Amino acid sequence: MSKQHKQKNLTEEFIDVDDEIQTNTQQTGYAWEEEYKRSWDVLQEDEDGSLKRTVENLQQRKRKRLFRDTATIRRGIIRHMFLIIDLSEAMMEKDLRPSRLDLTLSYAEQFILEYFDQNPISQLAIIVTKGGYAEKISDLTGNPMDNIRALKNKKNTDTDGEPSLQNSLEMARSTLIHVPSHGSREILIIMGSLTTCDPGDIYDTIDNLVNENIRVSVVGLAAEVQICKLMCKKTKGTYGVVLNEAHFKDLLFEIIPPPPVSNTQNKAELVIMGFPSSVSDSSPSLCACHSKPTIGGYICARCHSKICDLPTDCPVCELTLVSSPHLARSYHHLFPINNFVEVPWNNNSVSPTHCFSCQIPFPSFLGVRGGAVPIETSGRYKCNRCQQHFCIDCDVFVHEVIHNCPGCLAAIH
Amino acid sequence: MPENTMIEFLEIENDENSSKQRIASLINKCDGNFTMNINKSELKTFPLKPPENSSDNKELVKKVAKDINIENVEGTERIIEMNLGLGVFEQIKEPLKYDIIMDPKGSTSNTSTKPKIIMVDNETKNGAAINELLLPPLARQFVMSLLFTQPINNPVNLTKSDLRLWVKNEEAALAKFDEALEKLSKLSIMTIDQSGYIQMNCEFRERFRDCLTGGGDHQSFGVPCKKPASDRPDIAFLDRHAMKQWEEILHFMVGTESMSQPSAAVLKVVTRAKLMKEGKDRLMITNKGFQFLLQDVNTQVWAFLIQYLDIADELLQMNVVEVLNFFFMLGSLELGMDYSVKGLTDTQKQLLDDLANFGLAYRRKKGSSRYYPTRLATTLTSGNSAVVSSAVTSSASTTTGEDGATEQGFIIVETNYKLYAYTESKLQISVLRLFCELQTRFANMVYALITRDSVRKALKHGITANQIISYLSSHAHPQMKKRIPLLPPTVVDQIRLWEIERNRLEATEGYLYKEFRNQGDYEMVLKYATNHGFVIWSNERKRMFSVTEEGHEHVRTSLINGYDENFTKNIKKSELKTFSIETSRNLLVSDNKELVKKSCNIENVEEPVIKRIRTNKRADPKGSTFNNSTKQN
Amino acid sequence: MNALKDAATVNEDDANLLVLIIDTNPLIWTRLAKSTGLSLKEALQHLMVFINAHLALKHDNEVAVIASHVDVRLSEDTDQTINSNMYQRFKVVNDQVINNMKELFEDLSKLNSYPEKASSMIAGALSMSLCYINRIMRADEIGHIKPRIFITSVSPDSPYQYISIMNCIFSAQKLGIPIDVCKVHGEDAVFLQQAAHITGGRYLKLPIPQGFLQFLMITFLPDRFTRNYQCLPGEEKVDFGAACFCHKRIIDIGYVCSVCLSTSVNEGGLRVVNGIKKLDKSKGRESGGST
Repeated sequence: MSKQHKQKNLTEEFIDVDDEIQTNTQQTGYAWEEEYKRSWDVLQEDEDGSLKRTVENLQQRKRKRLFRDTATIRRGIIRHMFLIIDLSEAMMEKDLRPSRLDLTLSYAEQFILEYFDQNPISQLAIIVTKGGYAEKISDLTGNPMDNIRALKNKKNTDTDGEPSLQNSLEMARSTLIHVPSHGSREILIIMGSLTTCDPGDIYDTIDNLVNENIRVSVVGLAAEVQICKLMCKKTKGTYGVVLNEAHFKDLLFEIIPPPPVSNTQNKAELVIMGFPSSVSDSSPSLCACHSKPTIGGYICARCHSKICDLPTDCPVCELTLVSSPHLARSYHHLFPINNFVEVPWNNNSVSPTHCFSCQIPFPSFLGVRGGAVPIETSGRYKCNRCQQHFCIDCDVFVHEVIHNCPGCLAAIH
Repeated sequence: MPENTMIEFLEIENDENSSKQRIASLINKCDGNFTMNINKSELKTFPLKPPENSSDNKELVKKVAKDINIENVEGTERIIEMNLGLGVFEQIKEPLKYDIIMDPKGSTSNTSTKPKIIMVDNETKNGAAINELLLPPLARQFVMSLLFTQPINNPVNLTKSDLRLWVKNEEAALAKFDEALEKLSKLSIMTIDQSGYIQMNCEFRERFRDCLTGGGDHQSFGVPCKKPASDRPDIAFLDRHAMKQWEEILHFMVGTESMSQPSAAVLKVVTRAKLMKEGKDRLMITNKGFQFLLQDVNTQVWAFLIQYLDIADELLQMNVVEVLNFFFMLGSLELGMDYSVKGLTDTQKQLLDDLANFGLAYRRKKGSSRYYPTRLATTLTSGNSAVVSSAVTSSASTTTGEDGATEQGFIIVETNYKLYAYTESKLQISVLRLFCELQTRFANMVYALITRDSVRKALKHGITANQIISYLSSHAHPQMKKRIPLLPPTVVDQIRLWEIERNRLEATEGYLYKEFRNQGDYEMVLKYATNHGFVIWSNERKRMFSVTEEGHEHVRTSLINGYDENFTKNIKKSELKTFSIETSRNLLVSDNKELVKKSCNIENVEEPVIKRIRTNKRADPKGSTFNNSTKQN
Repeated sequence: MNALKDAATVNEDDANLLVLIIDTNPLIWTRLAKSTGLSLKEALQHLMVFINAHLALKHDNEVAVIASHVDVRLSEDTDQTINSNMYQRFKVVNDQVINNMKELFEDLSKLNSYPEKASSMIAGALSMSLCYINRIMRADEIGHIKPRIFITSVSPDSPYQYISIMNCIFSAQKLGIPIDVCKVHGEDAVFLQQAAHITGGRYLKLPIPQGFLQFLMITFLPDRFTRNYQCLPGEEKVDFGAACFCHKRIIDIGYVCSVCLSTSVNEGGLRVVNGIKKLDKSKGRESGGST
């Protein structure tokens, strides 16, 4: 529910979503004020004494159907992001298992991989903050492995003292202001501490960030902090505090789809890029990126130096090197597919008996009527464009993974 | 072909629209009668070049070629080779009609050693079954690749090195390659002649091609009835029937309650296979029988059928070839279809009755003209029994209640040795009882403990730890199957340790040398024996030592004849005093003070003997962790 | 561009699910039959044997066949029985495929509604097979079934399907499904070449169409386990030079629009690209803001 709103809001206008959450909390009250829910009451046996149907229903509800915004809007495909990780002592808390730090590091790794998977021509850098200062452990790079390697290095992930929000923000800002205007500028902070140790006035920093068009998003691990909330609101980022481990991941991964940008914010520009050709020599030669002998690799189109992996920036001439599939990887953000709509039971007389794409038979209305517990939903979801019916698994799969509607593609319109 | 002429017409037309129309009608015409009787001759074949590979590959082939030693590639799988005397397997000795070479231990382990059958049989033509049952994946691929490369009468002209270019030049891949070729030549599917060319058995090739293209007129896949019987049993019924019949046999073996006496054939098989032996007043289950119980159904059925085959010849006067044919045919039938007994020989009809008794087939009544294979039969030829049993259940569990559940895997083992079995089947429970202590029984679930005593009891019955473990893992609950490793390692290790615990004693046959007159003689002979590594045990104080069997021969001749120079250099022959040599099968324990001279077999070690050894001995290298065992005794 | 590393994940005992996509574009097949002597009917016979061979390799192998047709809806045939007991199964599967094919062609009576450049709906077929595989894999909890996709393609690439094909390729890559492609006829299909390369499948352009079956048996039959040990044709490297949107030339260095990711040779090309973008807009495929 709130998720849905969140997505909508996020794309329509850049207000932060916490107001939404707040209103929600007012309605429901605090968690400890709620009546105790007895989870087993929800379970009900059907006639045969089987729980199968109830369980299925529960699962169905659990399976979130994400309603995405399907309007074609401009998105910042070429992103520049700083990931700021709090390494203060507060991260040693064990309220998230195994500990805040361990969880953060493992999620950060997944985040980086997924980030580059979805935004192949974007860049990412990592800053850690502890003991009142900030430290950049990896520079802006298009190579996920560089970042992950930096995170894996134990030396980089000791915890100490208090974090410094301002120091790390300034450090990120000093790099981001040099980013060309066609790319988005973003900062993502994973914050475990409730305090920050800053040398100056953080409000000035926030104002600077706003002026520089840098979007700051924060994922808090402890509780809501006013300054973070304010910062996110002003810079049009998102702010969320994790409820549990899974929610943590959700919050992080919400940042992964490229953010929408306004038309005025940055102009469409042409970015020079190299499309290197792949080589495989008979004898190994040194690569320019790691100075290791390799057999295969890619040759930079401009300076002819050899690199191991794409996408990356040429270490010699700093040309952005990609291959055309990398560009194609971002297309689904540009051309999202329509949401499917749920088909109610009543117009079932004409509907197909099998899911269009995976051929799984739909539950039959008559069969259900015979049963004691009616299934709430018909289990059918329709694409409004091609009028084909899909099962819920395919619906989720189509929207989250394939980004193609099999029905629409199966016929020419 | 009408198609071609029409197309030429098409090309001439300029107007696109009308051409489209034409295509439509044309396609309708020529594809409307789309029958697919694949004619072998229509499938054109071309001489085939080995794939172009990178140069380094070829280079490496040169290098590795001589390192490969085909002789060393021993087939690890146990194989029953059957020469049906039908001509292809000429190199195998003729006089016997069939020839079973089977490791006696073959039936004791899990699915990987499930008996596999090699046969090249002109009558079954069941190439696909062979292909799947016996060959490693790479070999299957080779067969498939070469199947259509040449016209049937032309041999495949490939050398071994040509074929090697098809595999990657990695150690693992080459090992697989050798394994594949070895298997293929063992089965006479492909042979390598002197000039290095690989020949594929033409007969096999043709049959297999037939099998894939649907050619030929052999009826090796059963003759279905023209129209299904009006009251034909559904699959659920067949499953129930199969399970009922099969479990009846198992029940009979376990001896639960007084089940009705099974048929004569069953009795013959179980006694013949030594699954049961004559007891006081009735048949008693043997060690082998216990082991049999722990195997999965598919292995059981196979073991049973092989024994049946064994007796078919002499006791039932059946033609083995026909019996075998029938088994294979049964394996390729479709579940739930009715088949006609027409076309079966009398032997096979007789066989059918027995098989119906085992639960492999179903007939409404004895003289019925239809029969229905059950799932036990149709899964005969599938290689992977684990899958089979899960497949059995995935459909069975939806239809039948109890049996389905038991087959599906129902056991949950916890790290604390507690075992929960979701089953109601008495049979399964009594199997569990073999190695568990049953604690509580619920409506659909049994709760048991795996204890040292219960496992030892099983071990005493001749069940091995591996069998228990493989039983547990093959019957594991689907929830357990998601975990890696499947069974808790603590439990697995402990069961193994409990087994090892019993094997602290190792029997070695040998000769005991004793009653040496003086120390010198003793030392000299001992030294000689030690130098040659024959000594098993020695005791200076008692002037006794024991040598291995082969060593004894050696030592004795050297002693008597003085052939060995080193031996006789220092001592004159006459100086050797006599001493007695006692021939015995000694039970030796490393630090035993007193030798047990009696001939003992470890399996039958009587309780008092063990006690004596135990009390005498403390520091057993293997058994050091089990000191508590001595206390118990 | 990480081709799948299968060695660790694939087991000898695993069952294989083969999703076979047959391009049945009748326009091209009739032309093909004329020029090379391999008609659709013959090709189907070959494919039938191939399917049988696949099923014969292992008793629990499965196959699903999807026909990728010109514009009419996809006719799909799915052999949904998990427990394919092969010998009898050969016949069942073959009959099913053939009947569905027949239906498909009978359905073609409204062939007049062909758009100008009819092309086969490979993207739709791919999406469908991915959904199907997704369903099978979801049902198979212990990860016993190893899927792969095999496309026999005759139609040329359709630029309209570029994005959707690429989307499919990336999802296949994500799920670890190799896509094999056999190009029976015509020019190399660049999209499908990329598909095979990115997902770690095989791409082969048929040199001798009459020898279709042989190539099927040798190149495309091996399952994922065997492939770890075999080197087979069709594994050469593919280069992904990006094509300039304006001149369709392959370029080394180019300018990429930061919004819509279109590529051009030089900055002067901007205007041309924008022209295309406007064109696109009329087709509802514009990425939004214009420059």
